[in-house]
Amino acid sequence: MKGELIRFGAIEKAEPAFILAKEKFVSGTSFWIELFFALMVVILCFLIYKKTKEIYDLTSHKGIKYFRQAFLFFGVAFLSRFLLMLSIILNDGPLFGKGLFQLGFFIFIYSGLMAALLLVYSTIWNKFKDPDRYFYWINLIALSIALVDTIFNPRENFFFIITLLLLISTIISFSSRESNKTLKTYVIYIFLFLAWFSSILANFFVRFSTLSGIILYVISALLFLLIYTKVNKSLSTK
Amino acid sequence: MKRDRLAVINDILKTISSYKNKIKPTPLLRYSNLSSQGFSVYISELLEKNLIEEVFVKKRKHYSLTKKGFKFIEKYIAIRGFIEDFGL
Repeated sequence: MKGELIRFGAIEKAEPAFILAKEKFVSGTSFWIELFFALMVVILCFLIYKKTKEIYDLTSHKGIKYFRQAFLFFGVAFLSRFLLMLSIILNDGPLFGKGLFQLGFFIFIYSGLMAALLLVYSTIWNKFKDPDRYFYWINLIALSIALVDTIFNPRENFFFIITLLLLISTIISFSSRESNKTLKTYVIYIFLFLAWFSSILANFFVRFSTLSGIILYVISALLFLLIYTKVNKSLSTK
Repeated sequence: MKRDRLAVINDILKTISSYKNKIKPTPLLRYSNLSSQGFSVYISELLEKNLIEEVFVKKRKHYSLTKKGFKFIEKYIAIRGFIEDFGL
């Protein structure tokens, strides 16, 4: 089971291991734990989006706009990820045929990339003269990578490359920060990207142990909870 | 230190509020520390975003805060803190 590579569009069953994993996932408590944490992350993301609505309506601040959109996309990404996993596990392969599955995978990759790119962009947008124009470029990049990943399933998966680029850009953005007040936030973001990246690896590309996958999920959920708590604390009337 | 956009908006709104929520354009321009062009841009934005409104007193135009404008002042410190905390 360890080190087994599973690719979308051409799921190599290595049947005994895959079926064993499926049975373990569906019949054990691990499914319910994954469901709980997936829902927790989705709800937290939407709560962050909702909590920041008022201050965005008041200010039309672009940084706040991109920050909110990042978490909206995170919510969509986690939801689509869970549904994709469920469909693989329950059906030994794509649910409702390859077409809808490819669409689901496209949404998952696109929303995950948009979330990460927008989170980084929310910290550097004011360095650009026309920030909205670059927002369209971000969309284009995410769409292109998601399309290429979905249709061609390249060996050198662009998703991993871009996730690493995001880590690097977060570090660069962190090093050009203007105050130490944001230090904790950047550290959270870096861990969030690492957790996201690792959990994608664990769930879809390399078969880690079920426990490792769950631990990564728990870490992701706790990081989102930390961010939500920070948002709540920041916006509580002083 | 140069004020950013939110700080300028906050200063304008607080000035209006400090004048019993009714101030003529000319004194507001004076207290805003902006050029007349910059002032026009900000006033247009504040009117568009419904943070202020035009009221006429004895046929003279005044600016007044809306509910949303009061809310902005109330939330300004929290908004500032949020932007700084997340490096936005």
